[in-house]
Amino acid sequence: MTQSSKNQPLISIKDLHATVDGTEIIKGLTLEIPAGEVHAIMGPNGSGKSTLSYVLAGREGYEVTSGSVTFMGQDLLAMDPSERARAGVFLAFQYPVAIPGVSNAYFLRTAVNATRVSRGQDPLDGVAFMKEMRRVAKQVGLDAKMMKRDVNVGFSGGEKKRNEIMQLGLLDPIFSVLDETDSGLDIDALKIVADGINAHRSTERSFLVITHYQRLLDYVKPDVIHILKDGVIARTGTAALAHELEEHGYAILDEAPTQESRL
Amino acid sequence: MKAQDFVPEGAFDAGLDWLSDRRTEALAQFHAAGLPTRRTEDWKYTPIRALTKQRFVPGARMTAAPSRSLTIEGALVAQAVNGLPSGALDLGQGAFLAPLSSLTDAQKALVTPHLATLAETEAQPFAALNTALVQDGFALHLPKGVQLDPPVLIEWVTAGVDAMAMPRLIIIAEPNSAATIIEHFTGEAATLTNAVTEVVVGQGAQIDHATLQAEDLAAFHIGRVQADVARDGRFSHGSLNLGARLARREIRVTLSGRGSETQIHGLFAGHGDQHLDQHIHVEHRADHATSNQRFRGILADKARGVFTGRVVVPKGVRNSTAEQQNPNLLLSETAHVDTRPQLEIYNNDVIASHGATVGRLDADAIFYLESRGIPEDQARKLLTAAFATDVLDAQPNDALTAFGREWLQTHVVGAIG
Repeated sequence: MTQSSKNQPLISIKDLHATVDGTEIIKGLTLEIPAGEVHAIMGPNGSGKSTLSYVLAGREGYEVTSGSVTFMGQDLLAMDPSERARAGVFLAFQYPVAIPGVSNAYFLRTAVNATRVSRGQDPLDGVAFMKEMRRVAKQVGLDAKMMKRDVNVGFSGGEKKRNEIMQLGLLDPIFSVLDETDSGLDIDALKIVADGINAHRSTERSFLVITHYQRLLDYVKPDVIHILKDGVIARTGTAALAHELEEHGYAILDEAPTQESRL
Repeated sequence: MKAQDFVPEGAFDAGLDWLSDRRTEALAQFHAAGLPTRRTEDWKYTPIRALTKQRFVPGARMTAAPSRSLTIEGALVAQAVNGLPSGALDLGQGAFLAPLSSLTDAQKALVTPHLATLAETEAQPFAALNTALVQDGFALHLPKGVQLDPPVLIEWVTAGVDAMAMPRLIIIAEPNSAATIIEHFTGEAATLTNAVTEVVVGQGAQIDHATLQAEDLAAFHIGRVQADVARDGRFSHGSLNLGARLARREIRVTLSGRGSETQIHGLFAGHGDQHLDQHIHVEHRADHATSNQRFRGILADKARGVFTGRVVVPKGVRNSTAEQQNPNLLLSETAHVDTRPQLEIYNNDVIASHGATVGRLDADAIFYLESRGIPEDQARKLLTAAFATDVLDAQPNDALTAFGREWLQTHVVGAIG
């Protein structure tokens, strides 16, 4: 890695505007995340949190009207969803999709090998993959039997979220967006999910954690917190910002930032 | 075309001697019924003009190399070209599979009470035509209590220019017997296969039967399975309706004994200009009978599918369970399916459910797979195969499941852009 690229942020979102069904949801959002950092995005319902995650993942129907997203020096918006994934972008879904007729193991192996082949690595054979899968499943507390079941079919809410984190562990992304991964989880499941994320933290990898609650941030310590409101970043601050938000609500946006929450 | 003109000259005279009374009756019924038209209710969605425009001749007796497209490990394999068997199979334990043309008197005595009595020919032109013109075929007999371990595979090959074949099989399962019997239909272009299979499931017997229709994509295929299930008997049927330009599979099951059961699992998967019709008729004639029909359709390009699923539970028949499902997947704007669940239930003492759907690949699921690095075309192929998993896994032999999967990958999902 050259000196100049090292100073560049891992992902850089500049003046992003995006519409869904002709309605503008993201209205000039700018955000930079350096390598190795965990950023959290909080914000009221309808502020554009999930839209941002889908725009980054490239979902159809989420149209970028202006602005740019640069990921490791590449134009992310020019890539199709699977290219983004293979380049190292991962989205943990708020509502993971059930796929009847496809076993979890087959799905995961297909995904892992698609990424490996695109990175010039040999695809994993069945035995090697099973070994790796069991290791990661154990990490997120999923029974190996779940791997034989169809993708997310009949999984509990917690199992679905753990399955997402398991995919994160297997696909080894560089930049992960976690869209309300904590919602609907009891405290034990939350800890397991948080452990899975923390196990993946490193100086090369970054995270964007979208959440409603400060609770998750007790376990996944963020470097920076952003508050999203009406499609723009309304405030950026330290972890203290999440506590202030939890205590006083979004009314804090009407006041000057406290000393403690200032970056 | 007039029904008379559809019967090739001399074809009737070449038929099985010892069945001539029944054949004469069937020929008259064929003439009376005529060929189906668009106005024939049961054929409303399946026009057969292309079939009736062509002049067919009876396929000659010949031997062909066994097909390698379906290999079933450990199976007992028999073959017939143009409906004419190449020989008998000793199934062991006193069970036999023998050509109708060379049955011993003792075998005839077992077969005659059932042959051509089960399959209705009144107002059923193609079953009547098969019966009228049948020259040979197979009889499979399982004595009382005989459980056949290896599956029996029967390959029906239709070959020759404008060849017409009338494959005929009768399966007689005496009480408490069991076997797995698979029929594989294959052949050359522009041929017509018109098959009839009769299945007598005796008391407590269990027959797992499947048909693999994998004809040439320029061939015509009409086929009928007619089963009667006695008390506590079980008839499971798998139907893979895949080949031919025009194919119609009819499955008629009568649950005539108390506690009898039928499970029918089918896949029809078409592409190009294929037209694939499945016509199911299940009748509950005794108490505590169970029927379950699960059919899935996958259609690409300009292919058309038809599913008619009739379940009849007459008045006074109690404690029935009747389920039916027909989800369909359309892979193009021009593909089409007509699905017609027809439940005729004349009392309240029934647990019945049915569901027919027509849909496209789930955009959420495609995006989910893409977001994990799987390219869009691969995601579509994977989801198409997944749609068929349920009915493919229910086939009585893994080789059929694998054949269906392979067919989908080679023929149907290839059509996805």
